[in-house]
Amino acid sequence: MRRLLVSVPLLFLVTFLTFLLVSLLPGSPSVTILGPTASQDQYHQLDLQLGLDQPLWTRYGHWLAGAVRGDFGSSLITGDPVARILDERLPVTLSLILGATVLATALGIGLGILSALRAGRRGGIADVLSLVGSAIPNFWLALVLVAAFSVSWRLLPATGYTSLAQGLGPWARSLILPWIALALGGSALIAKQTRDAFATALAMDFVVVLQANGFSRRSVLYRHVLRNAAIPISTSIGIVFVGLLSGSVLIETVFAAPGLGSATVAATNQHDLPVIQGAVVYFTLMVVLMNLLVDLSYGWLNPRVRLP
Amino acid sequence: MRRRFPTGRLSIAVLAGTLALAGCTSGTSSSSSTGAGHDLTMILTSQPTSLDPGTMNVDPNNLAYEQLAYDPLIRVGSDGTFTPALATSFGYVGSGNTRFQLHIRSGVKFADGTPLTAQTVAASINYALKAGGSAAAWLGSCASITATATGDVLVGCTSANPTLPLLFSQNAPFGFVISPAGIAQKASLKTATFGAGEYVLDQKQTVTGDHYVYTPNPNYWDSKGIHYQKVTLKVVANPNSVLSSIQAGQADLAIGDPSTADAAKSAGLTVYSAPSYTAGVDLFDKAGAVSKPLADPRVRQALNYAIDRAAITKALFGEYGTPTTQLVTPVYDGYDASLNNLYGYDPVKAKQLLSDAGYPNGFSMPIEAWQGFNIAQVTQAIMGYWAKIGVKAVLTSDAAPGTWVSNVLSKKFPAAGYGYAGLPVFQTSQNWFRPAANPFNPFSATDPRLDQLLDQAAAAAPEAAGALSVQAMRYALEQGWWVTTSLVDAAYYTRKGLSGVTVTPKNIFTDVTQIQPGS
Repeated sequence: MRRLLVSVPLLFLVTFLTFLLVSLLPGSPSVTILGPTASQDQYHQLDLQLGLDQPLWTRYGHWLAGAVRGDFGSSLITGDPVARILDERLPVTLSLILGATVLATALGIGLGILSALRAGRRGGIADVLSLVGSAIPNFWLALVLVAAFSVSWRLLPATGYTSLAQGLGPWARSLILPWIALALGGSALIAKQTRDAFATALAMDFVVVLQANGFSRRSVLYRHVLRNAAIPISTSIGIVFVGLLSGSVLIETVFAAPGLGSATVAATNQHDLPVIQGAVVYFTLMVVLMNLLVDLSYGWLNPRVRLP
Repeated sequence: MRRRFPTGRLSIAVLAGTLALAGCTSGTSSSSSTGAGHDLTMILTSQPTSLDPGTMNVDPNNLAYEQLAYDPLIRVGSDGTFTPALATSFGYVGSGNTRFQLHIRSGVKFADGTPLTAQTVAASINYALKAGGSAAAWLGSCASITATATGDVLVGCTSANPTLPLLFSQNAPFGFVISPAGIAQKASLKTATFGAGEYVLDQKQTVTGDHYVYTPNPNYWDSKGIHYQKVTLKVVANPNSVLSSIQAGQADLAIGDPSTADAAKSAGLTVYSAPSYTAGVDLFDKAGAVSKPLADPRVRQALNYAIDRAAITKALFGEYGTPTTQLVTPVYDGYDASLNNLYGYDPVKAKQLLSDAGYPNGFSMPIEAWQGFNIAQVTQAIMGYWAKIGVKAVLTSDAAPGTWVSNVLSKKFPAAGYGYAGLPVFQTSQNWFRPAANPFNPFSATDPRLDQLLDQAAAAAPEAAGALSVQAMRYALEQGWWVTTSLVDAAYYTRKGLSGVTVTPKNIFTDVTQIQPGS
C-alpha cells in the first residue's frame, strides 16, 4: 500500500512535466485540424475555441481535476474521450509487451543457464547470440522479419493487430513478428544477468552439500541454484519490461499496431495534449505496477527479504 | 547415471512453440478478396482529422473517409469534366462568374431515411461555410446560399469565383451534403457520418486511428453504385509498412509514395501516378522586413537562376518528378510550358544579378522547412546551389507540420520550403497572393498589378480565363515570388483485380466510390 501511495506524487510530477514540455513546443492542434492552408486568424480562432489561450496553470488544473475522477478529457483533434481511445489501445500494448517479456525471459534464462553451465563452444555460442541480440536495432529486425515472413513467404501479417476476441491463433499470428523484434534485445540483458547470477550461485558451498546428500542434479539446479539466482534475474526482467515499453512505440509504428505507443506518437505530432497526458498516466502506472510486482517477487523467491 | 540438465531445451521449446503458432492457419489470409459482394480494404497514411466535412482539410486521405459516406453534388471525373451527381444540372447564371445554380435530384434520402432537398443542401453548404474549416477561403466571397421552391440552390458571390463546380465536387468539402440531423449534432459529425452516400460508417467495427469500416447505406438512391459489402480504410503511416502490407495481401490498394513506387512495381503491384504537387522554396519576405535583400526582385530572380532544377528533381524523385519553375500544375489554368524556360540554370547570371542588386558577396538568411513530402530535402538541395553563389541559408527543419506552421507564422523566417497541391489559380491565389496571413503568405505580401490580373482572370469567361491566368502567373514568376524545382507525382498502388482506380493529371484524387471488382 505504501508503495502504491508513493506513485501518487510520481504521477503528479510526471504529468506536470509532460504538460509543461508539450505546452512549450511550438505548434498547435489547430494546424492538424485545419490543415496548412488556413489563415492565421482561423488558427487563432480555433485556439480560442479549444481553450489554448488560457494560462498553463489553469489548463493543467482543469485537466487534473478531471483526471482524479478518471476523466482525461477529449482528444483535441477527434473529440473522442481520451479514456476510450486509450482503453481501446491498452490491450494491444499489453499483448505486445507481456508477450515480448515472456519470450525474452524464456530465451534469456535458457541462454544464460546454457552459458553458465557449458564452458567452451556451447557456452560461447550462447554468449554470441546474446551479444547479437543486444546489438541488432529492433526496428531493423522488424523490417527484416516482415520482408521474410510476410512479403516473401506470406506466413504472417506485415501489419495490424487482431484482437483476442477473434481467436487465439489469429491474435498470436498478428503478434509473433513484433514479439520477436522486441524480445531479442531484452533477452540479451536477461541472459547476461542469468549467466552471472547462476554461475555465482553454482559456486556456493550449498550446491556441493546438496549433491553430496544425494539430491539429483536437476533438483539442485532447478529448485535451489535457480531460486538463489532468481532475484537479480527478476530485477532484470523488470528492467527489460520498462525498456520494452519505450521500444514498443517504434515497433507499433512499424507494424501499424493500434497501441498506446503509436497513439502517443501521433498525438505528439498533432499537439493533442489530452491524449499525451492520458498516455503518460497509463505508461507510468504500468511502470509502477511492474516495479511493485518485481519487489513482491523478491519476497516470494527469498522469504528473508519479504516486504513488511 | 547422471542426467544432463536440459539447458537448451527451454529456449528451443519456446521458439518452436512460437513458430508453430505461425502455422496455425496456412499462409497469410487476405483480409479482402476482389469480386462482387466482397470487401475492399484500402490503406491510408493518416487518420481523419475529423469526419466533419465542414472542418476537414483537403488531402487524399481525408477525402477517402468522406467520399464513402457523403455523395457530392457534382462529380469530377478522371478527365476533369464535371457530371451530375446529387445535382442533376448546374452552371453559372449570366456572366462574371458571380452566380451559380444547382438543381437538386428528387427522391434522394439521407442514410437516416430523411429526404434530401434543396433546403437541406443549402443548409449543409451554409454550415460548411461557417464551420471554420480552412477550405471556406476557397469559396471566397460566395456567402449567399439559398434554396428555391423549385428544387434549386442558388449561390451568390460579391466577386468572381470561377471554381465552384470543383468546390461542389467530391474533391472539396462543400459538395458533401450533410443531413439536418448531423448539423443539429455538430459534435457527432467528428466521429460519425450523416450523408447520402453509398456507405455509412460502422462505429462498432471501427477503431479510431487504426481502421474505419463502412457498410452499405440501405437508403442509397442508386443501388448499382454499391460495389462492396464492406469497405475498410486502414491507417498505416510508415511508407515501407504500407508497401509490405499490400505485398503481403492485407489490402487491395494503398496511397503510395515516390520513395517506394519502384519497389511496388518490382513487386508486381500496379502503380498509378500523376503530377500532384509542386515543391520548392517560398520567398515570403518581399518587403525585406527580415531579410532586406529579398525586397529586391533581382535577388529573388538570382535565387531562381542559381539552381539546376533537372538535377534536383532527378536525384530526389526519379521518374516520379518533373522539373518546373511554376506553382500550378499543367492541368490547371495559369500553367504555360514555356514558363519553364524562364529560369534556366545560370549561376553566372545569378551572381551578376546579386551584384547589380548590391550583394556581390551574397548574404545569409534563416529558412524553415517541414520534413514531410520531401520538402526538407528539396530545400536542402536548393540551399546547396545557393551556397555556390554566396547565399548562405541556415535551415530549421521540423518533423511536425504544426511546428512548421507556427514557425512560419511567427515571421522570423523570410523564406520556407513548401509543397503545394495543384489547384486552380483562384484557389492558389487565396493562399499565396491575397493579404490574409497564412503559412504560404505570412507577411501578407500583395502586389496591385498581380491583384488586377487575378481579378480579371476570375471574372472572365472560360475561353478567356486561361490566357489571363497565365499572364498573372507569369508576372508573379518574373517577380520571383517563389523558387520551384519540381512537380511531384502522387501514387496509388493496387493489387490485380480492381477497376475504377484512376489517377490522372486532371484528377489526382482517386474516387473511392468508383472502385469496383474486375480488371
